[in-house]
Amino acid sequence: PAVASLAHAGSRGRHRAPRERCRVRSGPPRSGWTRSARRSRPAPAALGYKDSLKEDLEKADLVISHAGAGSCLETLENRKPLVVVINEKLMNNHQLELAKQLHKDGHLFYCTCSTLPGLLQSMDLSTLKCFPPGQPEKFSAFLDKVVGLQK
Amino acid sequence: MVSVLILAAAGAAVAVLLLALRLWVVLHSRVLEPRQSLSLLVVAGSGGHTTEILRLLEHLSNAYSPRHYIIADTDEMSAHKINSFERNRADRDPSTMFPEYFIHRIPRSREVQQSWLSTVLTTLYSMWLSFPLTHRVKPDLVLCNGPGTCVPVCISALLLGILGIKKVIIVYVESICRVEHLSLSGKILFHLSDYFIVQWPALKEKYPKSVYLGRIV
Repeated sequence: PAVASLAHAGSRGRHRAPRERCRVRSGPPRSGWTRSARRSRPAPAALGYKDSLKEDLEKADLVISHAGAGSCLETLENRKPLVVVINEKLMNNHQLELAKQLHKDGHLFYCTCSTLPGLLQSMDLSTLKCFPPGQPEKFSAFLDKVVGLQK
Repeated sequence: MVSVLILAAAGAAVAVLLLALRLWVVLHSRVLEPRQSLSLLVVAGSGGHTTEILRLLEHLSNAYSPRHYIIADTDEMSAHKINSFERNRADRDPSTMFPEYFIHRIPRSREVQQSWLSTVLTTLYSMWLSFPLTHRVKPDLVLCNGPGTCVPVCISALLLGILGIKKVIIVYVESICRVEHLSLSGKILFHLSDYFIVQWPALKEKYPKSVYLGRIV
């Protein structure tokens, strides 16, 4: 999954750690914030597959991701603001359905590659709501019942 | 010559009728026999499918053992996730000395953006390989959540029942990505599975025979 942290203070191997943390704020950036962002521009890093993104998620102030179910669920369960970018090549664009529903429920923002810059400028992260956890135990209880497993 | 052809056509028609009848019997037989354990065959698709199905498995008891996972032959990421999942499960449960699970590989039924015509051919090829595998494993339960790979496996499991070899329970959980429309795998397996679970109310309204338990991942 493509998960990026826009505001992450910390060293990554050869890259020097920025002196100031660059935070994503709601609404259009003020000139002071822009100067601060230029001084402490985070060094981008590209990762291959990682076993767990938990550490990266914990350090992120904002997550930009594709709209895969796993990426969305993991980010929202870590209570991080999420922007999903839709992959328009997928069959029936099923990722768009999930993104739209989660946006309708107030949990994330979504866009395409071309509309991402505009969304980042205009979005208000304070409007996002907490995402309640799923209940896989209901599935296991249902399955135990229908397959005849004795307690 | 004509009479031979007529006889052959009649024979084929009878065979199809018997097959359809047998299929109907298998799909409508839900004999609940109490048991202590059962073998599980899980079809893991790429990326989010695997993540979702492992979330479902997390809360299943050790009675679901052995666990057989089927993944596409090009899907290394799923193999990695499954191995991590089983290792973590074994770490959490000290009574499990050696986790009993197996990973099997079959060709992918369809690649992203693959044409539909060639998908029919690749699915048939996957079927050709799925049936021997499913026949060898003979699971009690097949669990899947939508990748194309699951269709040939579920049909193979159904064939075991039709041929009188073993009745396999097929449980399909539609991905959480599917809010208002079923996936293609879902549309096919809605008619062939024993239990079809959806995770959004809109789908339950459209498909009243489905099972709705809320969001389970």
